[in-house]
Amino acid sequence: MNNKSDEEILELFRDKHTQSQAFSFLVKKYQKRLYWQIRKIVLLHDDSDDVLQNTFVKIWKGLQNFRSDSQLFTWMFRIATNEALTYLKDKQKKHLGYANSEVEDMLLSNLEADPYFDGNKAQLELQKAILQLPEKQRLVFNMKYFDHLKYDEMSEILETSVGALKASYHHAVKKIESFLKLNEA
Amino acid sequence: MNNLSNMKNDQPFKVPEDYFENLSDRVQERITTEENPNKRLLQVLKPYLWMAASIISIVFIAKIILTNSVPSEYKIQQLSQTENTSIDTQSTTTNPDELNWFSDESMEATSDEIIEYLSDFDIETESLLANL
Repeated sequence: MNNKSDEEILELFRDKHTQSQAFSFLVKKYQKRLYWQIRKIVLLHDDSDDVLQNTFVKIWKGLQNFRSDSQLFTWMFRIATNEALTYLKDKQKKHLGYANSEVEDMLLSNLEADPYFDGNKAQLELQKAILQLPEKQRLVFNMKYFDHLKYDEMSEILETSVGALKASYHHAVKKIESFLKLNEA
Repeated sequence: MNNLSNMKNDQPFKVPEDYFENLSDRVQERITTEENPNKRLLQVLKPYLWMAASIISIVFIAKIILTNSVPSEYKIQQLSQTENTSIDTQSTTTNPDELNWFSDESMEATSDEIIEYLSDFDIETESLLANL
């Protein structure tokens, strides 16, 4: 693992001779965090792999013109989130004619068949509950509950105010708990 | 079950072993092919190029082997050269321009001219008959 700061990586990236090396540092530094952000949205490993590669290709292209107005990490996180959401929408378009709930059922059954999902019944129920949420609440819940992101960071990534994010998270938790209670009964 | 805090930090998702080890290389490889479409085209054509190159090499090698193993008098090149020479010889004699030259009316001698020519050189009748 490299311990280079974002500034050092960006400095190396600006030099044509060290550009590839700098990008390799960047991928290694952030690959896991970006992967898990994507995986929570698209759920399946193979889909996540596709989206993550698309994300890094976009980052490579955008990094040439990246200005340090925003933090590097939040900028990359935003690209990953958008790529994952676009991927899901494209997947839903391919299954036109299906109702939203049917697409969610399809995602869940795929998840059960995914060799890289090792969850028990409770964890599968939780994923089912998360899939019932509106898109924004789903994103906020995953980022807060699983990735422990700070509201400030989430605010920058999702371009939403901290107050609105707190409200979204609160609603999401309520909905999930009532869904789980209903399904347990 | 309905208490979310009980489930916290349970990670049901797994990734293949070594997935993160070689991700960087795969991403770099994809960037290289995306930035260089000619290279991508070359990759698609690669098997066909190999096939074409092998066929050309086989033909070339076969030509060298055949040229060295066939005796010189049977060589296609030499045969064709001899043929050309004979054709050339024929063509000189059958050259239509030259034929016209011989058949040109202006060159034709009349009987009187021949008699005059022969009498001028005083050729004996015997020697004439002998040359017939």
